[in-house]
Amino acid sequence: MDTDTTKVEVPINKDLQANDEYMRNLYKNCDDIKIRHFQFGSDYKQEALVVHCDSLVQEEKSNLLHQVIKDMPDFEAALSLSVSVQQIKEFFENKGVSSRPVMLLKNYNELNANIVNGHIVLIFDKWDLALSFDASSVEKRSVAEPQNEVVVVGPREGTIENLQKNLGLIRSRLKTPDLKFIFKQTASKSNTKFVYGYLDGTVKKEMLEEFESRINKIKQEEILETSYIAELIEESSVTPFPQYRFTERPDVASASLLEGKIIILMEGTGTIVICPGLFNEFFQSASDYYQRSVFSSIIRLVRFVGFILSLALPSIYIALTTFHSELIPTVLLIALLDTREGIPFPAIIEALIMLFFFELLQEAGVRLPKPIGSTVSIVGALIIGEASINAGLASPIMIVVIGLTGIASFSIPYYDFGFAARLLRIPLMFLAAIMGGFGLFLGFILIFLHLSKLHVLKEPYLGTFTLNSTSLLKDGFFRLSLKKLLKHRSTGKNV
Amino acid sequence: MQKLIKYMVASSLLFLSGCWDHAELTEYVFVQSLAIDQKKDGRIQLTTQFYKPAPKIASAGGGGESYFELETEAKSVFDAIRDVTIHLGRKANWGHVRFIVISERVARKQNLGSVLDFFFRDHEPRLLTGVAVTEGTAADYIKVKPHVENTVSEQLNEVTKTGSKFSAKTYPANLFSIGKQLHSEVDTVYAPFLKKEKDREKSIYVDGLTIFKNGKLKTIISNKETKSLMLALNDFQFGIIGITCKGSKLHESFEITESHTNSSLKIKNGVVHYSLQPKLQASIGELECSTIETKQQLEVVHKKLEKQVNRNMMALLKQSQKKNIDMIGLGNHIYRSNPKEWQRMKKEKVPYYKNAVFHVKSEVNILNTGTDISKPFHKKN
Repeated sequence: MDTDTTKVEVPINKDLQANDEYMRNLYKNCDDIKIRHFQFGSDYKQEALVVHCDSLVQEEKSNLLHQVIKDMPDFEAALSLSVSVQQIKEFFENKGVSSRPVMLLKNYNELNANIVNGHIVLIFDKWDLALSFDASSVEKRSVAEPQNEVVVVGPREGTIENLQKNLGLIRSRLKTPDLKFIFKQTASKSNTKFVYGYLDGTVKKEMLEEFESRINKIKQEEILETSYIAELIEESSVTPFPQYRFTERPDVASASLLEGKIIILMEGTGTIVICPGLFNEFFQSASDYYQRSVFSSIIRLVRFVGFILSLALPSIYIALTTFHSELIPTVLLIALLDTREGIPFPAIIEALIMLFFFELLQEAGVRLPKPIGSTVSIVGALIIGEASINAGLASPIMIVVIGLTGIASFSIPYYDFGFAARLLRIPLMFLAAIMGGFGLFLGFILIFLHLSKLHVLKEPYLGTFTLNSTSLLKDGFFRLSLKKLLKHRSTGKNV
Repeated sequence: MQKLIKYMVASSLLFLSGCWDHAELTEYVFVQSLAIDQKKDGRIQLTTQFYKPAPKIASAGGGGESYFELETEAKSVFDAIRDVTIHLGRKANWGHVRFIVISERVARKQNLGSVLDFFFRDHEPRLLTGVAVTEGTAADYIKVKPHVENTVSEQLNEVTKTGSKFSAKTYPANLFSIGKQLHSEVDTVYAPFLKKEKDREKSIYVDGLTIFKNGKLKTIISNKETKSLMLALNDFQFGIIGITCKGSKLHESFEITESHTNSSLKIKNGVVHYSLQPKLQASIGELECSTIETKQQLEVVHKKLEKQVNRNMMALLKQSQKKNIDMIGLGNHIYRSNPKEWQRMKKEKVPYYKNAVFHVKSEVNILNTGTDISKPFHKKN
């Protein structure tokens, strides 16, 4: 549309007819924008223009100007039987009270912004201001349990696509003025609100400054989802490791605020970004804190092992069978020999084929509708797996290795962190196939070097792994009892 | 440019190091066991048993033996080993050799160290590979069908290990123990002795111990003697000790569940006094003629057992002194406690071992009588 209008602030014309034309011109072919004339006052001589977006405003009563006029305190209307522009003007300019929040708009930019945000805008004849009422009511689903972060014990609330509700869900958990929410606006086309929040006093100052300097650079970008913001402000786009956590649980978001994190929310999406996300935090799940610490600690260890298996199991297998057969216990080696005999491919090719197969199944399973999805997993995993063994394409042990690798990556609570393992698995396999255990450890060292170089919002990615930090033992590999953990937190140190 | 060279040098460090012995499992055949024999003309006959992988795919059928043997002849062991490659299309891998059997003939004629030299030198064979000496041709022993295990090599390995652990009737010799013993002051080497019954399949068994001196087989001792030797070496784990009942042919047996032998060494006037004090915990295995209902009766049984143990040990020691074979490694003890004295003794004309005085004093404690307490089961009140 007219780009000029967004740049120059043109005040609203006093002439209603001119406004009418301007509006109709601007919203040409936008059939969901309704522009209506309205007469009111004594003998219906006063004229007004009502503009609203039909698809955003669905409350029946808000559609009626009468209702708006009625909202004006009765005594005003009672004084002079009819309402004139002058009276409305005086009322809103001087007293400024109505039952609904109302805004006075001065120029066309504001006008347009309000219309597309689901406000009802009233333009009166002979008045250079316009009234705007928030009547936005797009259908949103109700608060439901998040599907990706299911817990056995704990709140079942998940965020929805409504920003206000989501903020409310968090605010209701942290009832303190220290909890700050700062609103921001995306670029002109999407024109969506997003919010970042933090707990004043808990959050590290340098981290917040760094974050704000980055978020302030977002001006021209059209953003539809919080993950856009995460990617726009992230440190390194090349690393396979995610630097921000995503959650749909308000309790997780609140807990992370208490830990001194910054969260980003956005209108139209339920995904909350928690930044920065450090390495060991990706192994923590909300349910860890709702279950007893002993159990949680064991589960944590299982996840760490799962990550390493998911990262390196195929490469360990390749390294062992092609370079270090003497390291395999004899009885196991005999079992391996029996299964490997007659397989036409070298171990690396066999592993790559099966791995590709697994990824294919996984991707197909995600895409397909639920009723067919299960068929794919049955046909894929059972029949093709069994058949490829019988056909001599793959050895049963390789199927076990790849199956275990695939399953292990799902043990990590954050799906996108599992991607890192899935991605790094392949180069590790090649290193193992070329240089055996030496190559494997070369790969490990490179990964470790990369991780230790990585910073998120000036926080080292492996920060919890430093020697003087006990937090890794307290809430990293293990989850200490809340008695100790919460005492630690309340002393102000970051966990 | 300089940067490029730097990177090239740095990356060559990565890519030129490491093991370049890349080979798929299917490129190897894995050696399971070896039998070393000597032909009449003095050439070494090497019988190598390989594992033959049998794909366990339903459609492929499979079946057949899971091993095969290959015989090669050469002047030396290594030469014979190298000849394996001219018979097989695959590389032989020595990393999983389970057992090496040497025929008695080779053991008596050749130096053990030189026969096994290759296995100590090469990087593939493991030092924990078991070693045994066989009665008759060694090759026959690895051609026997196994009872339970996949291959007879595995069975031999297990037999020597569990046999020595639970019956103390042999010593679990492996390349490591042999290497260690060969390099000690008194190079007494112990290796299990394998026997085979004639005209019967699957009939190989361990029977006693062969004892090497100066790298050559000197004597073979029986099962019973082995137990005493193990006690003297403080290597006795579990085993059974029997006593004959007075005046009858009945036997009573006791299981030794725990044992520890204290030994002490004294040299008086150039004569070595060596005292051995085995402390044994026993439980009753079978009772035939003794009853243990009172403390006194228990003491009697204790005394009987102690006497038996002492007698057995003294018999072995006397016998070894007669043959002048330092079976218990007495020289090593002397060397450790008194190296100077040992240097002198080593050169003496009258061997230290022949003159040594042994003091054996065992102590037995019966802890467990089993469920039918204190008297033979068949005896009614």
